Formats: sequence, C-alpha cells, structure tokens
Amino acid sequence: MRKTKALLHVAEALMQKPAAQHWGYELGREADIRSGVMYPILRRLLDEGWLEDGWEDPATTQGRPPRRYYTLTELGIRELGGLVVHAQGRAPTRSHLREGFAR
Amino acid sequence: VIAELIGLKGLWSTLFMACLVFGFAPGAILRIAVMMFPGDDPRRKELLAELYAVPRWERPVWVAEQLEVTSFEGIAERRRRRRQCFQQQNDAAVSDNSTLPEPAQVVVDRSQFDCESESADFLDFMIKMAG
Repeated sequence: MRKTKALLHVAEALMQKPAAQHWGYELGREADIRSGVMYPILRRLLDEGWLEDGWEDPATTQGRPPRRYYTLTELGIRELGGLVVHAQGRAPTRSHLREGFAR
Repeated sequence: VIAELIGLKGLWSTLFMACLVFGFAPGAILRIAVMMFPGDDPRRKELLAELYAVPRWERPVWVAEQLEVTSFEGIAERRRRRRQCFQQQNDAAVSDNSTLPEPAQVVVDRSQFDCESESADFLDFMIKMAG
C-alpha cells in the first residue's frame, strides 16, 4: 500500500485506541483530514484486511440510522503501528507538533 | 428598527430559504448525492447515518464535502463494477469459444450479466428529476 501523509494521519488516529471502535466523522476530526481523502483510505485499509467494519446495533440508535464503525485487525495493528513508529523515527508527526505547540 | 426589518421586502422569503438550506436541504442533498454509489454499496447507508453525528451547524459544509466524495468515488465505483462486469462477459465468451471444435460465432447471453443496471437507478432518478 502507498504510504502517504494522509494514511499516516489516519494510522495515528487509529493507533491512539487500537482496540476501540472508530467512527467515520470522529476519525476524520482526529486525523484532521477531509472526508474526501479519508474514506478512500479506509476503503483501502478494509481491502488490505487491516480494518474490519461493522454496524451499530439498531436497537441502541434511538430513531437514527445505525452507523458504520471500523476496528483494527491484528494485521492492521502490526502494519499501521509499524508505519507510525517508523514515521516517528524519521520526522516530527502531526501529534508531535501539536504537543510542541501545546507546551 | 426591528419593525422596519420585519416590514422589509423579501425578509420572509430570505428567512424561509435560509431555513430550507440549513435545516432541510443538507439531508435532502446528501440523499441525492449518495445515489451516485451503486445500490448495494454500504457507503450509501454509512454517509446518511454519519450526518446525524455531525453537529447541525457543520452539516451544510460536511454535506458539500460528501458531494465531492460521492461524485468522485461513487462514479468511480460504478465504472469499476461495469468494467468488471464486461470483463466477465468477455471471459465467458473466451471460455465458450475454447470448447468449440472450430472457429464459430460466439453468442453470449448478455442478459445474465446485467452490466447496465449498475447505473440504471441513479440515471433513472436523474431523468425523472430533469423531466
């Protein structure tokens, strides 16, 4: 898979909580990328088997349609974790910059 | 001043239009936009459901972004499926031909590969809208 900055941002957002369910809108905000860029990445990650998707239980949605969520697979945690670690070793990532500005 | 504003010509129609666009239209536009995805694509349901997670004041902008997503990805997905479908037709034609003892005209039952229906529902909708 082509390693892009946008992929790295999505990987960082996903790896903040590797075992959690991730939702499209929130993931876009955490990764700070447009949905026009994020959804194609999510699709590629699904195709690669790095992500799995599922649907919210309609019984718990209270009058709105069930949302789709994404969870990292073991392979995804390995691959995306490796990507994040590799990128952190090379250059300051966006989360590093945010921490830097926060200080 | 308020009385003058209320009496201003066009105020109510402007207010009505603003309510329409910011209240009703984001959902309606998104429903039209997601039709660019093929009928069985989970992204249709996904985007409609995501709208409810977006804060109300962000919705018009978010929906505008989704127009970009659907117009590029939805059409690309339809094209990909059509190409795949025609590829299957061609593969079927080649495999039929290989079983024949001598060169013969290959007749493929195209009705079993319904490639055109991939875009039919959206096109039908657009034609109805235009009509």
